[in-house]
Amino acid sequence: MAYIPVLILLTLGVLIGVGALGVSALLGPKFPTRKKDLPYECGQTPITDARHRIPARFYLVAILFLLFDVEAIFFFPWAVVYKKYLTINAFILIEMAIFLAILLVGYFYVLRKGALEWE
Amino acid sequence: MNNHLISLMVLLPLLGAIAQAFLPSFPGEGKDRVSRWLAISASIASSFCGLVLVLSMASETAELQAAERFTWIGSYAITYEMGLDGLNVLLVLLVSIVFPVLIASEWNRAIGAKGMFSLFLLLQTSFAGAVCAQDLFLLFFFWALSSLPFYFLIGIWGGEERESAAFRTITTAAFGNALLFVSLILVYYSVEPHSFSIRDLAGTALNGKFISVFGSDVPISGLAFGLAGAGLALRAAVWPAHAWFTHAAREAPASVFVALSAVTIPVAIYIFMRLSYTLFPDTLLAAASGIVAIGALNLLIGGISAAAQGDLRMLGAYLCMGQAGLVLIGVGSLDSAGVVGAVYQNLALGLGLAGFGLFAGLMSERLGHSRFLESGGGGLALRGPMIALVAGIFVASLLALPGFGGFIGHALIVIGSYPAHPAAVLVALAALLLATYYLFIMYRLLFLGKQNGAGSFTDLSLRERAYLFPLVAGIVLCGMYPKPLLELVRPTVLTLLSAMK
Amino acid sequence: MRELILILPEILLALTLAFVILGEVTYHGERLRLISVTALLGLGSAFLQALLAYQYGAERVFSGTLVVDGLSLFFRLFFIALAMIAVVMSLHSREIAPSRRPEYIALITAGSLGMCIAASAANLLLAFLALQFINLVGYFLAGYSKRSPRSNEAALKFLIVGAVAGALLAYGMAMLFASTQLLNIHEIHRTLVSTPLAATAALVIFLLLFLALAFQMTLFPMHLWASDVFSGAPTPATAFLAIGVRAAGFALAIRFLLVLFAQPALQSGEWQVLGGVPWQGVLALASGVTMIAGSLLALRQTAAKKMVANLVVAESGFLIMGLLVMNEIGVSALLYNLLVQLFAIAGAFYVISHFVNEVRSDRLTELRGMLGRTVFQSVCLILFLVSLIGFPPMPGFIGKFALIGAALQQQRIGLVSVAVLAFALSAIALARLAFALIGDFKKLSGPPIATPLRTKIFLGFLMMPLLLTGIFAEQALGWATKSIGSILW
Repeated sequence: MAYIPVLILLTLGVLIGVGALGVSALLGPKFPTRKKDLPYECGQTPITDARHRIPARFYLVAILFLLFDVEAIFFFPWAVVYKKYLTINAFILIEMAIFLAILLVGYFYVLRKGALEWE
Repeated sequence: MNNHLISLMVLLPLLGAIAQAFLPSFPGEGKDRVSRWLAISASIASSFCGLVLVLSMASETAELQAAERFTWIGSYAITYEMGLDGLNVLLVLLVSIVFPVLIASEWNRAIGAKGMFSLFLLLQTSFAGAVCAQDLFLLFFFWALSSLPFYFLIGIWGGEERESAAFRTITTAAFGNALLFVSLILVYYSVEPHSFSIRDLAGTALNGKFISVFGSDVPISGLAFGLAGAGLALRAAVWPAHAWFTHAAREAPASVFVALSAVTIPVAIYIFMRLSYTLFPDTLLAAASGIVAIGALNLLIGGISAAAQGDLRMLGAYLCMGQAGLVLIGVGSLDSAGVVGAVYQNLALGLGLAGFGLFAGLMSERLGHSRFLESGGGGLALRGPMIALVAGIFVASLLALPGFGGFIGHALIVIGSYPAHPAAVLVALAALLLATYYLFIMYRLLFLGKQNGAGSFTDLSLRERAYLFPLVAGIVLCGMYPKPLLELVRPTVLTLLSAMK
Repeated sequence: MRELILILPEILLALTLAFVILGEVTYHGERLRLISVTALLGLGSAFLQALLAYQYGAERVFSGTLVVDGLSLFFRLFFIALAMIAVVMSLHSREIAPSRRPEYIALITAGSLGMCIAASAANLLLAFLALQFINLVGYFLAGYSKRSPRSNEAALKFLIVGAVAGALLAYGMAMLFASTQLLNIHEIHRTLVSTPLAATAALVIFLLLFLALAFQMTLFPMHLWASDVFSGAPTPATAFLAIGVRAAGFALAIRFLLVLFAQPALQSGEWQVLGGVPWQGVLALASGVTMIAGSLLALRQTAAKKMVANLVVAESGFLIMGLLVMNEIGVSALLYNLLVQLFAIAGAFYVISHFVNEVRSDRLTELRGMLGRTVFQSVCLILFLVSLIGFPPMPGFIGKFALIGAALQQQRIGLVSVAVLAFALSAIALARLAFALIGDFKKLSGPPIATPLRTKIFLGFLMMPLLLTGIFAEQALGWATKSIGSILW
């Protein structure tokens, strides 16, 4: 019962979206030309078809970002409790240093292997 | 007494085989010489131990002699236990005599001699071990070990269809071993505390134990007896599981055929005897007539098939089948004379068939084939008197002519079986008559009659005489003076039979 | 501090991994050889430390996420030894180029680190993580020959099936967590003892966990990947995967099934907390079908690696019988068999990798006549495979007998007959392989292959422990039983 507003929101959202697109599709004029049908490339003329192989560099960068982003995520809870535990035992700093060191080895490997070179 | 002669006898050929593997290859002429002498000396050394064991056996006692026992895997009650008694002493003699003879017969093998010798040595180890083992696990260990070398022996050095013959051999052997394995494990687990030692399992240990198979209760003794019997029958080429044997007999080289027929089959029958008399006495009592029937059937079918053969090798194969049937009749007779006769005939069968198989090999080497029904042969006795004499001795032993080993065995089995199974005795005598007929025909066609056919036929060389001599001597000794050997066997047999009743 | 000492082998493995990775990017050219030496030194010190760890008692470390007890000590030694063998195998194989060896060694070390952690894991999440880690390393190892389409195919198959298994594992663990609100398996066991699971929930959880672990152990119904992956991967990688991935699965299966669901004291097969789940029927079915499928498939193969791979799959079926009986004899027989198979599988694939080095193929038709060309290696191969399938006289026979006996003791006649049949079939498959090796003995099928000294030494190094586990079977079985006996409950 308490989720009725959500249902209303959902319905209205769908209606507005579908309605806008549907009405323009039904009532709008249709005079397609070659140039008008080209995909939008921020004002630039498209050079080729989009169906070609994407360089693996993009994948590599994405995966590396993912790995180090997850590392960053692990920093946050540590940062939250860091101050409290520092008064008890300074070991908490060493623990995070070890974690960082492990990932630094990986970073160093990535760097020296040339995975961060763009060309 | 804890001497280690048996272990020495079992291990020496193995050491010889391993040493063969590490021999560097010598160039040129003397290439195989070292390996030959190494192989034969390892084999003879082991045979020597075997002969010493047989000669030093005390004859009035039924106890286990030359026993060795030490614990191998304690948590599964597996012990390394070896010993000699009346049942296996003759087979030790057989193994000791046959294997050096086989190695000597393959002296001039051109290709792969080293490998062949290693395989024969391995076979000697496994058969010696299987014969002397008193622990079921150890027995199976050696028995299964003996099946693999045959695959290579037949497959590498055999005739035209050697691959399929080897394949059938290993398949049948694998299934036979598997059945025996299950039977042994059944026996192991049905006794508290679990034990593999034959001594512990002897007699009534298995009475009254049942196992539930798909709901119904089956007596363990009967099930294990059936499985072990089937497993051993597969490897002993008992009809109807004999097709692999005749195929292998055709394709295997002569020495391998001898190892297959003159050693494997007697050892298989011995294992069957050991297991039935010691472990399953009650089931044996119930199944004795069945065993006699199977034996008689084998005898009949072997004899009839042999009469139709025109090839020496196949003749030998079917003869072997028939003789094995005769031994089975003795086993099932449950009479002291019959069982002693069975044990003795095992030895005589082994020696006689070894001789016959080697003889067939010699003929095929000289004539290029081993068929005797052709019209182009005959009259070889004048050109090869020694061969004719030796072949005659082997044939005589197989025909149970007096003075040769086969006679004693035959006679004892017939005497022992007559009271309980007269029909089987009649079958045996009929088969004997039939064998006389076709063996004499074979002999006549080969040796007697007019000489025809050009081409040289050399008599036995010195080497061949040397290695046939032990077989001939053994057969003649067994026939002329069987008393010492019989005295070794009798006490054990009497003890086992009295324990059964 | 004490906790760190207890996991010192894993720390040493991680340090070795770090040094190998750093070494790869700093050394160039000839000095790349130093990396293998570093790796072996590091692994050796980890092995030593794992041996020394026996002086401490069984303990929980890191608030119960890891358990250092007899079972984990056994598997640690197992996996570190496996890593050392795999490193040496990669040095002798031509399928892994010298320039790519450091990376390969890094993957091996990482894999064995994951396996050690999987053997000690006592926390659902850590076990999941460790398994996925092992599988991930496996994907890379399977696809290591980048230019070979079969290797790529192997990696892809491994990835897809592994992902499915990972999903099943996650789902099963999630349901278990949802039922008990706990992650530590000891605490879960205590909770389940007091409030058992509902019958449907228990069934679903058991099936999901079992399917995921069945993938790891190459059991039916998740066994189809093994044959293709093991034959497509480069041969040294195959050895590592065939031994390590399966053993990690068995380690986890033992710990999970014993600690989570079984009674402590390992007396009988009662799984009271799982209620009426027919777990033994499921395990028996998986075991029986795996044994038969593996041996029948091995019989029909025409390539050596695929044949051995299918024999390995059949062996998994045998091994799970040890877990099925759920008593000390069965599980210690399982461990004994794993130990024997470590050397047997490693040795067999090592010789096959040498053959592949020579003739660039592992098809049986290409391998014809190998026995004539190199006697020592071919005989070793046959002996290793005889040991794998458990034929006398090699030590695998004792293990086989122990497993079949344990099953027979519980009156599982059907399973035993299937096992015996599969045993005979795998013997026949081995005979086919041996026969191809022999080829046509009358003529030599190619130039003789010399066996370099280091190959002989390594083969002897693999054969010796194999024979020793046979001669000293009593001691080996005793070690295995002790490892089981000191599991923390």
